[in-house]
Amino acid sequence: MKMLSVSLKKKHKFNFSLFFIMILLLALGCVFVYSASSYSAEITYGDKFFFLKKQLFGIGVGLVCYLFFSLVSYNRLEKLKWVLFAVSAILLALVFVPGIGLTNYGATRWINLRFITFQPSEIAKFSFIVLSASLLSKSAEKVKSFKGILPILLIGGLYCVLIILEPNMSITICMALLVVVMLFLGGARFKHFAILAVPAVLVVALLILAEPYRLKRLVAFIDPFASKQDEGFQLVQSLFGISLGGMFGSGIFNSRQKFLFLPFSESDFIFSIIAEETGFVGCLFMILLFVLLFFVIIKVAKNAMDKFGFLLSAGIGSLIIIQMLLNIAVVTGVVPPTGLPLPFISAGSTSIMVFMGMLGIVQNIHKNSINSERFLQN
Amino acid sequence: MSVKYSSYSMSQRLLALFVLVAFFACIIMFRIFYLQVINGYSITQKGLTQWLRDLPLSATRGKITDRNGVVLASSYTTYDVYVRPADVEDFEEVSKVLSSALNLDYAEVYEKISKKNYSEIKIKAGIEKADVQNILKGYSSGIFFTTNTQRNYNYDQMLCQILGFVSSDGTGQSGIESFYNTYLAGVDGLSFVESDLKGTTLNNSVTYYENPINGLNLSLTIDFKIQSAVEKIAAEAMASTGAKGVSVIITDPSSGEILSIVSLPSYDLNNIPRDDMTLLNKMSRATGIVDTFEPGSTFKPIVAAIALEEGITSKHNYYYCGGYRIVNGVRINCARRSGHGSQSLEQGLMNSCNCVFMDLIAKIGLNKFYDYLEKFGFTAPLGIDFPGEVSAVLMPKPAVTDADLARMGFGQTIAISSLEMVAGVGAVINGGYVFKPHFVNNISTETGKIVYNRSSTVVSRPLSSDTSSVMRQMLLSVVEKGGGKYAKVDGYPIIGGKTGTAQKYESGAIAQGKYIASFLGFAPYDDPKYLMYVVVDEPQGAYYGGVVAAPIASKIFAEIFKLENFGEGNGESQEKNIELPTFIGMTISEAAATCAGLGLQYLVQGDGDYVTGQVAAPGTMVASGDIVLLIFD
Repeated sequence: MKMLSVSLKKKHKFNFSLFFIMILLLALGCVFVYSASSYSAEITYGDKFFFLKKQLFGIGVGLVCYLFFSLVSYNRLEKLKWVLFAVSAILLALVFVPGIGLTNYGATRWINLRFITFQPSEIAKFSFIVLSASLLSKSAEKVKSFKGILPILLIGGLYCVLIILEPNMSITICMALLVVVMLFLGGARFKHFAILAVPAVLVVALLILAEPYRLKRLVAFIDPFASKQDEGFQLVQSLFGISLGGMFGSGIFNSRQKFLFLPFSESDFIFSIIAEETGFVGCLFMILLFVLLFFVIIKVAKNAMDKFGFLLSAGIGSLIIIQMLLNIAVVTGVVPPTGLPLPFISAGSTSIMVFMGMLGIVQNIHKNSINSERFLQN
Repeated sequence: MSVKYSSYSMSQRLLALFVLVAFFACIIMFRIFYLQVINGYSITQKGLTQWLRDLPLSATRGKITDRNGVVLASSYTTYDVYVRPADVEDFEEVSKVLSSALNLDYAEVYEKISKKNYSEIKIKAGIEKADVQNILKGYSSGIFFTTNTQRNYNYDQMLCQILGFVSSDGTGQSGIESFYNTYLAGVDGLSFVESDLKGTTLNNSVTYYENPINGLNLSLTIDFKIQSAVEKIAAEAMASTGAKGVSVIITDPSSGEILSIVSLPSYDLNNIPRDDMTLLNKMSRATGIVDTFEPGSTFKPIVAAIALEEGITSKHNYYYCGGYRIVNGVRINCARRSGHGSQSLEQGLMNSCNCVFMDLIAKIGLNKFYDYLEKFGFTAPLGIDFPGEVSAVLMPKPAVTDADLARMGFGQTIAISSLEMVAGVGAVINGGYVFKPHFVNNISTETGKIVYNRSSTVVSRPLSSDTSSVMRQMLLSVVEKGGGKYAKVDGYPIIGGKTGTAQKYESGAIAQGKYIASFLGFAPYDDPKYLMYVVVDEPQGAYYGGVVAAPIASKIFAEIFKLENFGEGNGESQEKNIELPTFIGMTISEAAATCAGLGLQYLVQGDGDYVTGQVAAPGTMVASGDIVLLIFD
């Protein structure tokens, strides 16, 4: 390995497309966070810039994270993987300690540090990518056996259990998908996926039956207009917003749904406001921007210096794209409503910081990558 | 060489992942395209009600006036007060202002408006403009008003059964209000305001207005002056006779227009006794139109006219009355048991001899008689513009025995409504025409443009003018020299008519001691302008039509002659030696004092503080006891 890396020239110090797309997404995020929240923030906090200010603060801290991780070699993370795992697990558990955990909308997902609240599950997703990327990069042969992938499944399973207890169905799903993607990229055999599918389906069914509200939401999802005052309310409002957008949208800041109609319009459901104000054209642009980001990241992965870098980078890219697809699927009513922020766009400091930090890592992987020109010749 | 760190192709798996991601991205894009472009319109249609708050702008209901424009029913605006908690800045202040302005309990108001989950809270309905101004003087943020129109009946119980009333939402429930509801109601307007979820109006929101179209005004054929006089006289009669009910209809027999109609007992339209529905239903019946009864002798002119028309008799044909007739083995008495002896047709009418009419109807025969009943319009509703008109109750022809037919000759075993009697007798005296009776003269818009004008409609013509002329002469004699003499007005030998006394039937048998006393009269006899039917239901003590009903008719005729300046009489009419002063600007007490000083009577219309108009105009010469109409607007 080392021989190989030494023999190759390091041409690309800085991946501009990665940075540019991130800044573009963050900027668009600020515009729509402001548009979606100014009315409700004025009413609730007496300051229509309330959420925008928080978002800008998150981006500021995020930029520091980004710079830090793009400068520090990603290989150091590998050494910290167990520390990261332990910290994440403890934080996830701390959520349940009264006085530290913050309960909102019936779920205990936040840790209250007085000056800021943050979601440990955001960090857990990241630590899982680091840990699984490291474990999977160790031995190609190990991955072929069920025993070899068992640690990944156990760690992923532990996270899932802690997150589902909050409860937070959507991040659990996100985490589960991440486990699958990491195993897939790590080289796990298809046979094992097939075997895993059976208990996975059973668990999902059990989870739905365990909490009656999930079933209610599922029914509401199938015909939201039947219960548009209760369970279906949020989805109906989201669909109204999207439909109002039409082909070209009602114009930036011209949303109607932001007038308290759409709950969480600045966070989980911000895409509905984007769809309303920019129309189909804007949605297409936004989604293509994410796909492009994903493409840039997996290109970095492809050229990564080692397998850890490859899995780390691809894992980060996958997390972003999974969360984007899940979020928009929820907002458009393709999958049942769950709470999941749209990366780089939705209001929420933790999410912004973590994602920016992760892109810093990708930037660092790029910095240490093999010559892409040479790669293309193959 | 492919980048391989291990035995599988990582770039292939990456490619597979990318393809999968692209695939899901496409599905999402299709979904968005469906929501925004393909199905967008129908989805957003479902949301219109949440983005727009509509405030109804009620159309003002049209006025109902008498034939001369005296307002009988009109609408005014009241306000409903709402509080929108989302817009309230100071809850204590709002509660204070509202509770003091509307006389409400402070704590109650405060509790009401503090409910956070309501977008609008109704505080009080139906308040007046002055209260609104008081509230706005105190505080305004978060307080809203909507307007309603309230119906007001300017003369309380006058014409209550005819005008009818409206429901709380302003829809006509009975009478004219119901029959002409579509015209009176108008079309409500609408205003849309964009608002947020809680109903707070948005700044810069586009508001859509649709102006209301106010209702049309109805001008009735009713003559307010006559109506007022009749209401007063009928009420006195009701008290003096102790009757269960008094009903009067006055029409213009030359057109079928109804000039006055009264049914007692009545109730106050501005204070409807809604708690007692049975009583209300009873008092709401326009008995003259919707109820039938056996008319008794007032039906005799119809029989006489048919006989004349058929050439069966003439004014001086003689009949013999021995006090009864035996018809097909059934003894039927005349009113005078000892008999009238030899009677001409005219005397038969004057003395109300049953035997004469038993003979006449026997000659007419059942078939011809029933044909005439149809021609007179008794067999089907005449089509008055009023809900619930009934036609006569007749025995089925095959069931009618000779004795039944004989009784029909003097108005028994046949039940007719007052309205149809008036229309039928109208034909007897007006040259032979049955007119369709009606209430509404014309319909006009707010600005006075007449959109509908009613003209007289002839339903049928059962009689010739010759017959009619003879009948008028004979009926004049009835009042001048016969049984109707109490209907006379001194100095006005121009009234014709016929009395009637009928026993009431209750569940198929004669109800002992219960009578309907009636008088049907007209004036002037040679060119009838007024046809009047007075019906007294179950008078106490005296019960003969000539004694009970005819004096009531006399009083009414006297009043009408005075109102209409019938000067042809023998000088009894008052000299017009009073020059009417101007009342404009006076308060009601000043005007009352002025009237009393001049010996004038007055009527009040409107609820303003000062006189704004008067009828007749200042300077008009009037007689002592005349009525001045004072308008307070």
